[in-house]
Amino acid sequence: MEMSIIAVFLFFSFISTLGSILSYFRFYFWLDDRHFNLHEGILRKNKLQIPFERIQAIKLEQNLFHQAFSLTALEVETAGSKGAELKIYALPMALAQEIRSYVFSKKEEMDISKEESVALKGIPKTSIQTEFDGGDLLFKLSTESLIKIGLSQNHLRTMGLVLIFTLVTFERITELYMRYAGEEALEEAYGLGNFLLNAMFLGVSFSVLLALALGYSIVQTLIRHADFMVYRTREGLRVIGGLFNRIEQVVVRRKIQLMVLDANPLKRLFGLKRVRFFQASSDLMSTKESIVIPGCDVVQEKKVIEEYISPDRLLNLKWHSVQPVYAVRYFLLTLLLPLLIVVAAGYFRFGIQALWLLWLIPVLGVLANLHYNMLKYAVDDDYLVLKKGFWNRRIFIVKLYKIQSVELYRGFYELRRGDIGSVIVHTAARSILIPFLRIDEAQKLINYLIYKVEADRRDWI
Amino acid sequence: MNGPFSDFTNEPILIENIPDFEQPALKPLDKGYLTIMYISNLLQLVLPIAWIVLIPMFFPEIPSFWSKMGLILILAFILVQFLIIRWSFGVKGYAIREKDIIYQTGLFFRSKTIIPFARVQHGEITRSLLSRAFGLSTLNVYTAGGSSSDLSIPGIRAEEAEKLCAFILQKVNQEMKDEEE
Repeated sequence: MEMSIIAVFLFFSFISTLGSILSYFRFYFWLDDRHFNLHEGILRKNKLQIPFERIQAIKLEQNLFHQAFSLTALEVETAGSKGAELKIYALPMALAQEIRSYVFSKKEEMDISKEESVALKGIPKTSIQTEFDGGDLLFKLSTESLIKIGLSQNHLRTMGLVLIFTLVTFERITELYMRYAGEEALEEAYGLGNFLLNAMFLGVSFSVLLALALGYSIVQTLIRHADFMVYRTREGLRVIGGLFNRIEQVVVRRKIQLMVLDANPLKRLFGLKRVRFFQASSDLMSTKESIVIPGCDVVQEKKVIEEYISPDRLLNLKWHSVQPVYAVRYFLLTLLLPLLIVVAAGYFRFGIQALWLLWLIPVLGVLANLHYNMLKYAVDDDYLVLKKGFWNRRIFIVKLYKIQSVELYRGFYELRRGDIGSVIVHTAARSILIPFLRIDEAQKLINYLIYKVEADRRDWI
Repeated sequence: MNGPFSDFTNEPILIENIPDFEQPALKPLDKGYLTIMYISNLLQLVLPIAWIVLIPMFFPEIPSFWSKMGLILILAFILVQFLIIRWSFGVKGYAIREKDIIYQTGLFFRSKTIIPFARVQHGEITRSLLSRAFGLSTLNVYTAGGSSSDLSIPGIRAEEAEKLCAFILQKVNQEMKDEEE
């Protein structure tokens, strides 16, 4: 009986090994002047041909096995239709890097020949370099800054995870306790007489929870961004990081649709900012196409930002506020309404004491005002910049010719008032909302943005 | 004025010359679309109406007062729906400019979207069963900006939709050629 099970098992593993080996021999890829070609499959043959101009990014990813044999997985990401993506599971690292350089230099050559015929006769055609261009190392994140990044991560999620884990464990312990010590002992342990003990237990367990969450975040950050290095190459930034899974990505300069900088209070305390580059994505819900530099100091930030906007320019923008009524609306809808709901719920549960929470109203008023003061936008000849958020400060930067479409949006309140409107700017990566502008201001802004998009001959993708 | 364009006041001619997207008059949708919306609205309510009408037949013990109330509520609901459809029809409209397409929609939450032809990925025409009966089509215009920035303009006469779609695609191709040249 057992023998037959083993036999069946062996048979299936033999078949699957055979399948892997056969598919290895049936797996071909090659590059010609304009395409990435792939043929694969034994029974169902799959032929794929991706033109270079459709390729958005080439990503190299190494897990531990890859690292041990200096291999890498190579993934080709395209814009537009889904499912046309291509993945090669193992390649020698050097070859993979050479392939990437080749594809991007070919792409660049196509673009140059495109641009050459437009204007500027004097530009010499750059010679095609197929050898790997590693670029210059801009900086490497030190262990110290990685720990800071870990500390300043959003702990709510990790705390939630740890909380669930603790609750499950706690339940299990209670169960065991009940089984061995009886229910009465348990009741005594939870009883009012042991209030102090319980309070202490709560305090201790909360501290443990916090410590666990922090530790988890730090370890996770150290693993995910280990040895994080940023290079500048001809085509853009090259970013490598990760301990077990080493991921290498290239931010192609021309392909950046949107850049977002953000810093929560802890990050600001450490003088760090997170920088994210968004490229055109076929699937808007995924953040796959965003390339993240988890935290950089002022000097590093300048070097990184330069890929998209000159830091001086960002500093010298002329900022404009939105209409003050935004603060009122934000206060009423986003802050006061949830508070009132909480108070109402508390009133029914705990009685009159819940009304003490109403003292928070002035605090919320101050918060709304702070939030309003942080919301600013700026437009110049080439950029639209929006900054917002009091706790988590974010700056969105879009090159005007990357804009896909512009929308004048008016909700119920705005329509009734008639003299204000919001502007939504859609890019191939994300949409940006500039709320509550005076209507003539909004119209002027839209006219200007659309004019800038339509007057620009550059290819956005 | 502390507007965003104080930087440009030294070139007032330029800013004055920028075409205004509010200027072109919006073309309303075909009247047939209104009828389609009324019909599909009624179709949605067939079941509840049937329910209200049939209940007294099979369950005579339920007081007729309540079934009457139900009927009145449903009728009121239909009336409100019809009004909303009628009013939002008046809001909807589109305009084609030399370099972009504009579409406005939404009674309570109004959006007016402008898509430059240079950013259009593709255009297509779809027709539902009902709209086919009325000889109408829906024109869809897609950008790389995702579903929130795509346009779907219903209630255009079939032949006009064809023409529009062809026009837009021709414009898109032209823009692409210009870029390449």
